Amino acid sequence: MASTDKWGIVAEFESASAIYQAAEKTTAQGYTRVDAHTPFPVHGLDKALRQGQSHLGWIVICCGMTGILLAQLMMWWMNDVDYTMWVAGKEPYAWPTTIPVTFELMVLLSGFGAVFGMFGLNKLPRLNHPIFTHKTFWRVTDDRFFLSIEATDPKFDSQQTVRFLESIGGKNVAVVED
Amino acid sequence: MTATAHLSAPSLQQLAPHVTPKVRDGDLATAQMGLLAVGVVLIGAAWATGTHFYFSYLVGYMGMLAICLGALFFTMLQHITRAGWSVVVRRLAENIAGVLPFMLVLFIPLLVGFGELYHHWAEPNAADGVLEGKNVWLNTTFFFVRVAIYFAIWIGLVWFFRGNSIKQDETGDPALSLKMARVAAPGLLLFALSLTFASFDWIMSLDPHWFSTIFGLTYFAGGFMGFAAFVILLARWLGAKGYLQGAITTEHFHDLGKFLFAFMVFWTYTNFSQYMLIWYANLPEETGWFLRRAENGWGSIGTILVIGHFLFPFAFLLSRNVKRHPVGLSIGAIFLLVMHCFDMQFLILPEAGGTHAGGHGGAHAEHATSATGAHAADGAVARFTHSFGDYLHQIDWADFGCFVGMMAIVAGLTLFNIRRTNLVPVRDPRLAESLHFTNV
Repeated sequence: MASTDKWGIVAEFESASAIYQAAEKTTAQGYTRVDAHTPFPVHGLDKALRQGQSHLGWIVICCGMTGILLAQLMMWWMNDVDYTMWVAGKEPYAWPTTIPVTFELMVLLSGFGAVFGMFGLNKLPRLNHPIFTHKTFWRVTDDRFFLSIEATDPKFDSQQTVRFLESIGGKNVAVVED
Repeated sequence: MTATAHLSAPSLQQLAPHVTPKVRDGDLATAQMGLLAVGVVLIGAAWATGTHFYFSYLVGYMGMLAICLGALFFTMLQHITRAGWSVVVRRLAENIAGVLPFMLVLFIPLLVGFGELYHHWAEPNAADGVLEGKNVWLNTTFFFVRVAIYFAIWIGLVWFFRGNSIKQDETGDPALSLKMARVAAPGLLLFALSLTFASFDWIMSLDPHWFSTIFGLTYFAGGFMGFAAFVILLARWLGAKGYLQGAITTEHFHDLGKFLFAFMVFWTYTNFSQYMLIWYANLPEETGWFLRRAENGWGSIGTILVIGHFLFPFAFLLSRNVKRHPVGLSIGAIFLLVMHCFDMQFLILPEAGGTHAGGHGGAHAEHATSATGAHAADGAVARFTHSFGDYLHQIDWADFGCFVGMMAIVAGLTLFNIRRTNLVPVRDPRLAESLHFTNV
């Protein structure tokens, strides 16, 4: 059983292909709470990490639908109920006039849903992260690639996991405290 | 090859030896001849029995011309953006665009039917001051000159882009890609202008009093969507015949599906923009066009387009799982091609009213009484059914027959082109990128 004061184990790799292969081997070994940290997007890495499809789309569509509903409700209330006004012989609540506003509000709320939903799913914003205590992790924005296995992983074991990461070519393998 | 110092891209043979680069000799010949025969027979039968043949022919012709022009646009778009993903699809687009020279020949029936189609402005009423003013543009001589100019532009662009792409198959010279990227910019400009004015000339001028500056864009949007649907089905069919497997993958279909979806929405966007401005301003000189499309059953087609050309496909094609599903995407593509046919009918056929009204006099009288309010109390469904009945009453089988026939001819001619070239640009410098392309 992993103790609560450990966040996980971090290993350093020197190239995109090295981390790709390491990710494949790690997930093949049965580790599930694995993540990769790279200076640039590495194609296919999601698949090697066996990460599922993001749920962000559902958040976005819910926000978009809310936008449509809200816009229609707003215009119906304002134009038809609260302060009825006939302009140029058009019905106060005529559908063609409502489309631009409905469209804009749908886009706006979808955009909010996408950005803030992404923040939420990533548990952002936060001021610090345990992984930053790893002594070479600063190179992640420059020329190094890191693989992390979290302590909450059912297969996690502070000694065996370290040995495993070293066996697949990881350098500077270290346990990171929470 | 002699050892010269010039650069040369790796070939398909080196990058993906399992992909067949070319249609086997004699293969697909039956399909090609069959499609051409079906097309000729359908259009011949339409000519022999159609009640307003030239309008029916215009529906089919403009529908398929839009798809061929969409293919030309796609080709230039990939060059100007220096796109990597699309290289394996681009040769199909080039070969569909390669039908444009044949479209010049297929334009001949429209020259024959010129008097019937465009008599409103070709032989205007002397008292019509508006048409007198428009005579600078809408006169017979200049019309034919413009036909020549449009086709000169399109055939020239096809010749340049398809020709250089085929040339690159031999040489593998990356300089050709740079050259095409450079020409794509002025090419797209010429394309936009020629397509816009061609749609003004050949569809909008059916009602010479009416005008809409966004009209060319709506025609283009529907056409490019039609192209995406057409190329998806073509690639699927070639895949079923054992070609392009391992070259055009789920990833490429996914992207073509995005194009299909995006331009379906763009069609809606432009059409709504046109409708709302006219509806809001409510000026008689503009509203007449929509009024004619609310009468005689055309209202039901308008409703079908709103639902079938937007609401349903929007919900259906939104999910990435559908776009990546072979059957799902094909259903979407077929469905939207049917909608493309309704779209062309909606643009063209309400203007055919005068030419065959004699046969349907009864229907008009019936409509006049029914419009007085007897049906106003009915539900929306009942009103739609009644309107659709009116539509069926005045539509001719040839309005569908010519569209299907023209599509068969264009598909046959596309196969004619495909059988004579490689299936993909085998030595494009971005071929490797395209073969390994994945969506995020």
